[in-house]
Amino acid sequence: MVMDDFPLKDLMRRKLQTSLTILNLAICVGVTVFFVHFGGNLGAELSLATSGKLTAGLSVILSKFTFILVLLNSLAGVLVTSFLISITISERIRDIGLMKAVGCLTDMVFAYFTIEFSLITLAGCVLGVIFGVVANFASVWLLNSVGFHIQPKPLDPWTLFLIFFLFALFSHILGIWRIIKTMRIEPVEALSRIFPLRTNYRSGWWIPSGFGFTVKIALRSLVRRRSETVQVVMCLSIILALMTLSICGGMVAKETTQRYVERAIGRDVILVSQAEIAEQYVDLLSKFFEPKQAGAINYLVEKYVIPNSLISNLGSIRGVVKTDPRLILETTIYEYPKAIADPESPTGYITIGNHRTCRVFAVGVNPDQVVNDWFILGRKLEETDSNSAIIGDSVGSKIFDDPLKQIFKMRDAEFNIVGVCVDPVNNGEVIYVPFSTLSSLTGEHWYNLLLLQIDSSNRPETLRRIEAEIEETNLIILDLNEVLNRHTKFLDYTWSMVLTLSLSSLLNAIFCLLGYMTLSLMSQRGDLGVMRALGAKPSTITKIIFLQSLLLVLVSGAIAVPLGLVVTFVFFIPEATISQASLLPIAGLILLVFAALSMSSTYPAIRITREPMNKAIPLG
Amino acid sequence: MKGDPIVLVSSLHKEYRIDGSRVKALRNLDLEIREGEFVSIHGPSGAGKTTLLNIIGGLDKPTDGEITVFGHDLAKYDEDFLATFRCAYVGYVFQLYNLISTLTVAENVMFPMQLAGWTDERIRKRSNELLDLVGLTDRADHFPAQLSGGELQRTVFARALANDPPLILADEPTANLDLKTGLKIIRTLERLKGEKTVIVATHDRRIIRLSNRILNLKDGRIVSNGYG
Repeated sequence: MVMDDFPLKDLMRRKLQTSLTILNLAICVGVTVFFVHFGGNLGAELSLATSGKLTAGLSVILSKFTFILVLLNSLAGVLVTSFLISITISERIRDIGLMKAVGCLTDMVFAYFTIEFSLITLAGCVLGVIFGVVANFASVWLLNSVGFHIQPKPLDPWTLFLIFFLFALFSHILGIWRIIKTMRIEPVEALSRIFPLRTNYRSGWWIPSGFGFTVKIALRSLVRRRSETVQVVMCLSIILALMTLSICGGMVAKETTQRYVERAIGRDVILVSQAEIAEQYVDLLSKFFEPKQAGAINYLVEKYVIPNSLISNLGSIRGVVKTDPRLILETTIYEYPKAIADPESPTGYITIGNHRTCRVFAVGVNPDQVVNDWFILGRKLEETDSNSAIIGDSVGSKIFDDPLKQIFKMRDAEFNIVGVCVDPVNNGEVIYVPFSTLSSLTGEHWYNLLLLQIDSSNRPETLRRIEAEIEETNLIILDLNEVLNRHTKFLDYTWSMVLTLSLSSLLNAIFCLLGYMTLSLMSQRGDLGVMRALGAKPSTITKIIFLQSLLLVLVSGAIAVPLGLVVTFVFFIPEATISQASLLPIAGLILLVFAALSMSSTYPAIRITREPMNKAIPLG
Repeated sequence: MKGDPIVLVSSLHKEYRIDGSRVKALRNLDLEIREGEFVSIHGPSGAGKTTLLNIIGGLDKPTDGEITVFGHDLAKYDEDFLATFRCAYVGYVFQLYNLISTLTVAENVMFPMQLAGWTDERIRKRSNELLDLVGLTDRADHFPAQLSGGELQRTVFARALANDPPLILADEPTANLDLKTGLKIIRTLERLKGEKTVIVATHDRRIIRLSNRILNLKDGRIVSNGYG
């Protein structure tokens, strides 16, 4: 036996099985590479470490999401690969028995299968890395081509190597474990006609007699291949959970994060300020999706003043719902360590925090006039607050250990943090303090930015009146809806990229099911041929096969879908919002996936029904 | 001479392509089998016995020529019709048993009746009768892999009779059996003689002796066609 040639030739002979296994692994490796790098391009770190500090924050949601998806995807990849290897080996139990029976040493048979498995794994991992890198650059290019400026991060060869190595390692561990298990079969057992179907013992499963005989045969076939059926249900459950997460989680996350941003910027908000300030503010807002460096300006000069009389006049225009005058400036804040009660010892204290600093965008607001309605951890500012602040989530994660228990210092004044908000201004490096406090600290008792919330029903008329009011001043107006739309569009694209994962998991699921069905049909080929010979129509055979895959998909779906939904709503997204209009496409997509999966099995079914009878059954 | 002709074969040819080369299994065959006849097809291995049975049973199609069984030109019909035809007219006893491995003995016997759309009660009654006939009542809940060769062959007979088909095709029904078990099968065949049209491909002299007619095939041609 020429061991060098055998595995390769054998793989080439089993083109469908080999391609399915390689493709499945390649997709999983590729998706992992893609998410690790693409997530990095968006500034989301693949670590749950930051999530302990904050429960809110878009990057945290994205990185949590990416992390769980990559984890599940990796698990699915390794499991499905080893499962496909396992079914390839189960198909060949007779061969193993024969090889052993004619005197081939177990070591030799083991080496033969291990080489085959290694070839498949390496091919899958190499293809996967290439696929992931290409997908990463393609996504960055796509986002740039639609107007967003994403700087692709240089590829880290060590990360690529690590992904490659981990996939290859875990696939080998699981795959070789299965090979070892198979090698233990005695030749007499492997050659027995009873062994492949375990027909020497009954299934303890109750099959209702009221079911049609096609259902009964389909069920019986699944139960008879108990070990493989349990494995395929496990693999499909993981893949379908991954798919539910990416479809449902992706859509919920998209809608929720868009809602966060919409609440933070406000809908139908008009900015009134001097042109430089307006430009600066828009640049700071746009940092969320464009890495723009806002230039340094001194906000506290007289030319930026918005007269109180003008604010009052603008506020009285019909159609203006809310007037939100602000004093904005750039400053540095200093973290203060704080002694808090030790949660582990009722009498002890521990110190949290350090002496870190952060350059932030400070906004002085009148708490009862703000147009924003952020997603907040903690509470909003109140009229009675003087030295209290709400901080942006990026500040919170940058310089605080437990923001809601800590204080910071700004311009020699100490501030209690009462809330952490999701705010795209300056990409979350922003603080909101009462206007009265900020103006006393700066000595400037005027506003340099005004936000007006207007009634959308009479928008053109209101805008005309505002324009008329500021005509004689050096101020300009800017519709923030345009900025908001760019934000939501950006989030739309970002989450759409995440949603592509559902496509890859659909492919994985199809490969997994096709692999199982191919094995299943190989061993059922004779039985199905006999059924045809006895008068079963091709449609009856297709129905039996379709029912088998439908049952597998339904059982896996019953485990996976609730799991995916629970993870999405309970763990992933704080205050998840989803409109009823979005529920329908989610349910529709999941049903479509189930249908596509079940339908995929009809391909081998059709092939088998077209097979000439003398090939399907031994006719003597 | 028995009843009306039910199998009419005219200028029948069957060719297989194996790795690019052509193998002629049947050459220019003409044959007529009448209702109630017991026909043995005899001949060396590779003579075309199984191919002829398969074509008569609608399992295979001829390359050329005509094959009419119970008035149906089988060469012209699609797989759906042939499936219905097999279910209604033919009871097949395969040389290698070909039982459905995931079904029990009783379920294997019930299968053709379920395909024919019989009621549950009728199926149960008929299945019990047939298992009793072949002496397998106590093995009804066993799976094929748990049976001996003789029991497998008797199950196949019971299944072939399930829908009460007018035509029984048996391919070497005693080939894999010992003398004693073979005798049981022969007795079952003997019971069918006169009741049904039976065509058996066999080398077994005991079966040949039962026949009304013996067809001798060689290299895909009928070399003799005599009445016993």
